[in-house]
Amino acid sequence: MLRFAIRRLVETIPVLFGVVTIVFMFIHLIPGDAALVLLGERANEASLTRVRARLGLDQPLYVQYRNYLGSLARLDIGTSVRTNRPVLEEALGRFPATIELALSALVISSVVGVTGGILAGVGRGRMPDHLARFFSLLGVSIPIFWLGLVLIWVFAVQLQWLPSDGRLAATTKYAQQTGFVMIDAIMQRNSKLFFDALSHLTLPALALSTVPMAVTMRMTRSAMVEVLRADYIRTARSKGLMERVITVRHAFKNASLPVVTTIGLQVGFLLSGAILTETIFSWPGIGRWVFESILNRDYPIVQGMSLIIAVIFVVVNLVVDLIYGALDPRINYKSAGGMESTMDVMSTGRPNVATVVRLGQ
Amino acid sequence: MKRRDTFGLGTAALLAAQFGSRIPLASARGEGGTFVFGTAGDPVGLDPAVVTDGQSLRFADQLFDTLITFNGSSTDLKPALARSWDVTADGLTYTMKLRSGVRFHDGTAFDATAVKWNFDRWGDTKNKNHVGGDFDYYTDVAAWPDVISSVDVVDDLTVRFNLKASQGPFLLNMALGSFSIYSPASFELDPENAARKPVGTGPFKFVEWVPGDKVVMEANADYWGDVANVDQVVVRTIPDNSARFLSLKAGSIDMMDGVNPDDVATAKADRGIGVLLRPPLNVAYINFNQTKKPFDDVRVRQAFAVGINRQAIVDALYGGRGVVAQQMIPDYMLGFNTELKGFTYDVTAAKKLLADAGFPNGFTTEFWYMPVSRPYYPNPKQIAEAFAAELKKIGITAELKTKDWGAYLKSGTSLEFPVWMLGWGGDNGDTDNFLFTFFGTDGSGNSWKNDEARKLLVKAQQSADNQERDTLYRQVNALIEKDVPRLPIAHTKVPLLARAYVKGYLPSPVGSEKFTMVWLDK
Repeated sequence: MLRFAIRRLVETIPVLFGVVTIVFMFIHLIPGDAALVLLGERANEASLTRVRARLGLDQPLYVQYRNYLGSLARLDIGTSVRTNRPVLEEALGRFPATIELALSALVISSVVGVTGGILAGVGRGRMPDHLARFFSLLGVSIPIFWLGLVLIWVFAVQLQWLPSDGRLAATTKYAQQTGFVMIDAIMQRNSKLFFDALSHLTLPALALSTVPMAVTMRMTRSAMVEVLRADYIRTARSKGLMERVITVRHAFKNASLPVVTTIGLQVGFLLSGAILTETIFSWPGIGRWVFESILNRDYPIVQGMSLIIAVIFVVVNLVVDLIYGALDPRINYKSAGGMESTMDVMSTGRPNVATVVRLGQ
Repeated sequence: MKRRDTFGLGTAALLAAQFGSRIPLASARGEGGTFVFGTAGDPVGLDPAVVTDGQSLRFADQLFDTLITFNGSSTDLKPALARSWDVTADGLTYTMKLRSGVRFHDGTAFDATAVKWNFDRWGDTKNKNHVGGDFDYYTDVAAWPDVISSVDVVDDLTVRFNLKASQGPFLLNMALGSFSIYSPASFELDPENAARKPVGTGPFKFVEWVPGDKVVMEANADYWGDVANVDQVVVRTIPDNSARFLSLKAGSIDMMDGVNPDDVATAKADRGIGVLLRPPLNVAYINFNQTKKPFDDVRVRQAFAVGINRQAIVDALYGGRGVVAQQMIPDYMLGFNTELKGFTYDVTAAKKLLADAGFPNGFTTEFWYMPVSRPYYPNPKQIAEAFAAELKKIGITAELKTKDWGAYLKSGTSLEFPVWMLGWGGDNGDTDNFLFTFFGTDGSGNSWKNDEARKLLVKAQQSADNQERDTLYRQVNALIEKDVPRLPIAHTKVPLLARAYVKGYLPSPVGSEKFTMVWLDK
């Protein structure tokens, strides 16, 4: 298993190299450069020349690319052209917010999605199924920015139950330890801080969870429908096992492989930041930051973060592959050829994973 | 000549009255509290010398002082860290007496050495403290590398500026936020973090900056001037305009800028919210590429000028906050030529001009509009559509096009477009900052090669006599009206929204608003 993991990690090096190269080329091929965006209406030839020289943009593209690879080899992912701050330092300051939001959305979407999917699968063609399908269709169809604004209008403006923006109230001060406000609050035994953070987290987590919830629910439902048709379920029923036991122990465990894959993919997407959710709810995470950096042509941030996000996807995929082994005894990692199984892994419903940042969240 | 107290362009607080709001100015001191201001983006940095964006410069006004400052809601000047100043008759030597007893937030004393330290840092590219970014305001906006030759410490509280060339807006430039005096001791202690832990003499002290979230400041109880009414200010980043408006309605912020045009009407209907307007210091225009046909012909440009019903467009699409621009500067500025007639909407005249230029049946042209909204063009696409509809009436088919902002700016500056929309927001309220920027040199999208105008602009730039400068700029404005190198469309009053209990906020045309006078009537 360890050898499999190491082998998989080594195999990702060309993938990451490809990501670095493609992102570098694309961002430099977009018309308009960082100097122009920095100077805006104020740009003139002299100031453009000066700023381009400072940013190294006056060098030929291959020299810039070589310099960039050189600094990557020194584990330096660059410095923001706008703020002059190291990209890694800025990213580390924003990651806790994104992780906090992503995990909350993931918990909501997984619990509701899996439960709803199981109920729908079991009650196929009946009311729970219709409801689940209705809500999952709704979940993937509602634009996040619209849903976000509606949630704010109802819960913050009209009912005044929950706050509308940020991670904490504007006036809240606290001594940061881990950067994860909820964890810091627990460590400091500060219940006021905890509930402040929780109330701020609720609306964005709800909004962000809708799409993954819908996807998870659909995947769980179809996997359950498939498994419940299998012979061994009929056998289990004829043996007189309780329906609950059949559903949870026999059906769901076997239906869970594609569900785990789907949730794994969601983890990758969620951790790479949710641009719309972070924008509407003023959540200081990395999604919005990277998006703004693209508009500002802040090349080092875009390049550095693409690399980090690619690494996240690679690691999450690896973890998902390892979980397969735990869930399905037919899959083992012991042989020299890497993951080997008596069944075709692709036929388990595992979608082809691509390192794509989905903008729609 | 000796100048004390206020002087300037005579705009005074008239503007505040004219464009003012339902929110009265401070009449009594409030009870402290926290003032939360919502805005669209984080500052780029908090070291005023190396930033150019409004989000960052907002903090220069709170955390720092300049030697001279703008007087309230105008572009008039008044003393700040400098108590008074003398100018020699040739305009080449300025001697400033500094305020005594002023301390930086780190406890060190403010004196002439600190002033010299800052100017040396900004202007001397070999200075070890000339770090942190580009000194664009020093180099480009104030053009001081060509103006200031040296800064001398005469005594502890007297500093002398020796100029290579006299500069009309020298003192106005001095009031720009970028020329805030930073504490030399704190800067040298940690130059790397100068933009993260700013130390000035201003009415507020820096507390913390949570990136993407907020910047917190507290009142400086030892401030040399009026101590702030509120105890604390939080500037909160809320990127989406609609979400920020909802936050204002929900009461989680007290005030906001960056208002959607449609939300102003909603805000006016809400008794709990007031609308404030910044006096206009901007211009929206259509730029013509005179290096390409047909815009090399002045009659075609004039046909645009009289063929577009600018009043109707401003009335329909500026939400009551726009005025038609008769010249490339607002009418209160130095050099606005009151004798000019401007352009009167006249379709027949426009058609005749086109026919005279050889286009009796009109022509088809690309017409480029901005992909982003700016105060001067609040909704560029709709405005472009209105332009196209107007042009259609005189036989011109405008094919509307746009592209990404960075690419758009590049194509505009390098004259790739035949005709395009752009605008300008003033920095210091001086006419030079408008007209010289537009027409003074090649580049920056300028295709008007008028030597006479350029000579007048340089002469006005170097003169320290406002009477003379006024005359020179009037002549330039007359040349512009004759040649129509760019067609001025509108000046916009930029709206701010505040909860009704926010008092004492004075909107400034240059957007330089100190939070000192704000108090909360809760």
